[in-house]
Amino acid sequence: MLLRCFRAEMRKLRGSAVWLVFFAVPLIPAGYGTFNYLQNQGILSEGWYSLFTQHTLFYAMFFFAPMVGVYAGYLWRLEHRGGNWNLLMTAPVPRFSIFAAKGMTALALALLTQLWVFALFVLCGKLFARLPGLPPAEILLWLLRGACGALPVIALQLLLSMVIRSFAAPVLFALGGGVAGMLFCSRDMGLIWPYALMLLGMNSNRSEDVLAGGLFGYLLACAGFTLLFGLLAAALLRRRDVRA
Amino acid sequence: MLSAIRAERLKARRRHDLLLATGIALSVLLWASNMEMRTEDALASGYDAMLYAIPVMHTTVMPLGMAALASRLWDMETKGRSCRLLFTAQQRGHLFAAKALRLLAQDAWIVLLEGAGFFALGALRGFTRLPAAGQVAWLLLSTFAVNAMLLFLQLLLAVRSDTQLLPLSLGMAGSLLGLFSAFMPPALCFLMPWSYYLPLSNMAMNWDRATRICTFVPLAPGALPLLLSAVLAALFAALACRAIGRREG
Repeated sequence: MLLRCFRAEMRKLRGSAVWLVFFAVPLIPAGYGTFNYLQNQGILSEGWYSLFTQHTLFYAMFFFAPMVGVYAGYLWRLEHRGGNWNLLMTAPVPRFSIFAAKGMTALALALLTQLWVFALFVLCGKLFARLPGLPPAEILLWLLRGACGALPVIALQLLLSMVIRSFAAPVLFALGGGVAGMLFCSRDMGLIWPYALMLLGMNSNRSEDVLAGGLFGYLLACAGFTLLFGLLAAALLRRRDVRA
Repeated sequence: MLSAIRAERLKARRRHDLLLATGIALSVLLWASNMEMRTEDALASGYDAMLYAIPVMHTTVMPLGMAALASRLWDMETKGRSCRLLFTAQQRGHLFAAKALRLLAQDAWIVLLEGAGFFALGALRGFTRLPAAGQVAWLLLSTFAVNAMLLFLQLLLAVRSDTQLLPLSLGMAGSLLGLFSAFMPPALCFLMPWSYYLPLSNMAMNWDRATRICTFVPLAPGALPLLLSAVLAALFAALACRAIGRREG
């Protein structure tokens, strides 16, 4: 049933403008990051690592969460229009499957975004920065960790977009969350704030690994927040009803 | 016209628009509160540092914030399918004017909150030297003007879009571009309306690499970027008004 719901969600994305967002937004940090790297090679002397920080710092800090907010908002917006909510509430599928399917769809989009960011990073590194060899495998690991950090953001944004019928408000909330996440990270308290986990996982603000020795706690925080928001969504969906 | 304004006020009930606007201002203030200032010199130039840093924060927060406010204001008509009713019940020009007033009121609220928060933060952190009143007034005026320009641009896009996906995404892209333009040659800022907060900034920073000391230098207010913002705001407002006038019910 879950797979069927997932397939239905993916079908809703066909031909959608959300792909334009997915494609276009990461181009901006890639372009700027490469430009900044080329302009400051005197200070940014750690090759692929330096280029990675330039490509992903602001993306992970401020813009990944709003982007996921846009994905999540778009997925729920369709249900908030017209009589779709009532159709959803009366559909012969477990309600949580709908939420989980939307989560899987948003995760697929987020993973594709991470891959696109990586592809742009390699492309810019080879074409413009003319860096030798391939990026260290560690960077791929950081991107994967970032994807883990994306899980709680996806769960929270889906929850917000489910509860708040406005498309824009949850996206704005994500931006505020990103700003607060930066503060939590600067006080070494990133693990207690869901919007800070992506930045920690991506290791975007330092060349040395910020999670060295703390990976277990990080993964636990990611899993804990995702579970918490998932359970909250399940409880809310159980109580929701059709709107007469 | 008055009835259109009253109708907008009624529609805004329980929509928490002011709460959102407050959130936007608080995001900037929260970010500003994170600035490191411990030494006596740093505390003396604390307000100057904020006058320098806040426009950079604005370029990150405001484009998406303004996109969200404008999008919500028009989206309620799209989602409620009330355009046809509105277009037959009231003049389209009045509908635009009422919405524009609503947006400008939210803009004013954000600027007022920021102004109050600016001094509150300074007092809380123990900044020792008060800034020139004119400089703070300029910061608030320029923020209001650029916000207004972005609100009208986003309203124009919101009216032309049914899904609100593209207007919001453009706001997000604007935030990214605005932030990055802070690190690009200044002339580039003029090509991107989202970054007009930067050329309007009235404080510059000199960083001495050898001593690692920052000093802040007041700049003369940039009348040209303010004028450009006002002209663009008027242009976008006129285009948004026309878009509402031409929109199918």
